[in-house]
Amino acid sequence: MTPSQNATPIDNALRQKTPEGIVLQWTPAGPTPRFFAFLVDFALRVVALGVLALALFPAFGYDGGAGLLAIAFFALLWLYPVFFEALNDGQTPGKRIFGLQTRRDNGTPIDWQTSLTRNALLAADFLPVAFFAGAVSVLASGKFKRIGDHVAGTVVVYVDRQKPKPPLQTQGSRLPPLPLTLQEQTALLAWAERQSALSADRFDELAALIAPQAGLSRRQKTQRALEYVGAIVGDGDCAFSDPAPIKKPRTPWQKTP
Amino acid sequence: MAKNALNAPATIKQARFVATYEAVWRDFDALCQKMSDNKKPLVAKERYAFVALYRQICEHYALASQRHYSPMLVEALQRRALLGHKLMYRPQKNHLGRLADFVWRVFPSEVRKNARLFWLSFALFYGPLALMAVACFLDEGLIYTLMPSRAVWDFEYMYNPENAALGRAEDRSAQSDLAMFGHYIQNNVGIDFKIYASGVFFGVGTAFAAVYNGVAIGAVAGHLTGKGFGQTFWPFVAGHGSFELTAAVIATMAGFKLATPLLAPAPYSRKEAFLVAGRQSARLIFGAALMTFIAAFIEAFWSAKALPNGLKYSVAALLWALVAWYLLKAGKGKKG
Repeated sequence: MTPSQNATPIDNALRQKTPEGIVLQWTPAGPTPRFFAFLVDFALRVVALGVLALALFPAFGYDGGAGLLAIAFFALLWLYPVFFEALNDGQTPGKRIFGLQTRRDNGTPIDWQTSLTRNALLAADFLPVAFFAGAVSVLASGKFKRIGDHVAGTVVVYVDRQKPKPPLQTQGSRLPPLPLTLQEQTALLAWAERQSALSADRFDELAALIAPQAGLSRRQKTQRALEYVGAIVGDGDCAFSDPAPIKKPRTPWQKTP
Repeated sequence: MAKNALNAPATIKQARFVATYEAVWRDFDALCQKMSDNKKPLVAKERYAFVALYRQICEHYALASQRHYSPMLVEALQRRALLGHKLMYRPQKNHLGRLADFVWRVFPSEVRKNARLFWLSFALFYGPLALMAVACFLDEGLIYTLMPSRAVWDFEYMYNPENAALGRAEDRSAQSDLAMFGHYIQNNVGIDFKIYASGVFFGVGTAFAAVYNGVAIGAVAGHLTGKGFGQTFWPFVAGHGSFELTAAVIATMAGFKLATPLLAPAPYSRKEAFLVAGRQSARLIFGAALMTFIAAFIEAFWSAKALPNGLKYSVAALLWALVAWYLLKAGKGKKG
């Protein structure tokens, strides 16, 4: 039985309609990667404070060093996430490692005011002890929002990473007997991409579903299905091309974009 | 003609689609690259071009996916649409200008818009302060119902006229002004943020913090004045008190603003009320934090200086007048 076209998909993706009429999609991140990202940020802050202490005390003496260190402590505690979220595209270093990003509810990137609200309420999320209120809020919300997210209207989502796909080996092309919808074409391509990962038997078994014509041997059915894939992919002289990758200027804390 | 053919009519449609619009996509790619480079801001002509191109890209993306064109084409267009969306809706870059606008216009007008909340927080803070100050002035032992005797002793030490380092507790008497500056920032701004954040729990924490801080400050003020240390205490606190106490009142306002979505969200829905309250209270708490920075600066580098009382009182009056003028008049009449 094929699922009906109007069935709602069973996933927790956020679908946001933009004013231009297209639908963009993100997946909110659950508490576990967020917790680990927080741990990494916390460790980074402790290290930064230690390095600053080592640098400030010899330079300014005990008194001056203590004063500046107190300011640095305040800045690292409250302003570190605000600074990174507003300037680094919603990603603190901890979030970057785990592939997370902070966005506003309506899909637009985060700005200073929102980031400040969100992070000032970390104190509220921390109550009564060790982020209990925040954890309860994250688990109770459908979009994994803590109290700061609710008030500021933000959500932490996974960054869409483009995994580089190996080019498909196709042998010839043949028109399928029926026009295929976009989802069917994508499914066919996905099948062909998994050729190295599947066993030969399983690959042929799936090919038999794609090209179930009677009178063909198992090998011929696989061949036929691969020809359909060839028809979708084309012969490499595609008249359109992917957008050229954007070369972002290198900032000191980013690896190669 | 491209050989990515599924059935002949669709092939022709897709090939023609690609051939017709490929130049548009190349222009869009070039413009996106230019915007991401951040070397020079775009001129107005390029900005209009970007908006028009982005809308076209979205149209092409929708068309291509609805006509079930090749997945590679649809994916390429989707990536362009995502990139365009990100570049179109990213926040503006004029940080210093917006900070200046915030200080001179946005923050004072936000305080004025919430005048009733300001006076409520004011009363909640200064009312207990005044009552406790008078009570502790008249009854010398009353402060011990509020604080342990060690804390009272510390305060008496800080403002004792015979103490060389004015305003410093015994364990900090040798520290420099810079060290105290750091301590004041870390302590006071942190308190402001905690007052703000506890407002989300129905405003209970904020109200309690306001009353408690008022009572504590009033008790210290009344007790020390009654003990005869008024000549050292009042010149010390009058200067930075203008910024610090006002910032505490504004932080209380911000905390109560966070409580309104839970207590009185109308006319918004609860979810929208959170968004509105979040944005307004963010402005208030950020302004309060800036004021507390200034207060810490004054407290560390000015208040402890041994200068004649007349001079200190005059400067303090000036600062109070400055704060009052700022909140009442700054940014009035200017549109955003």
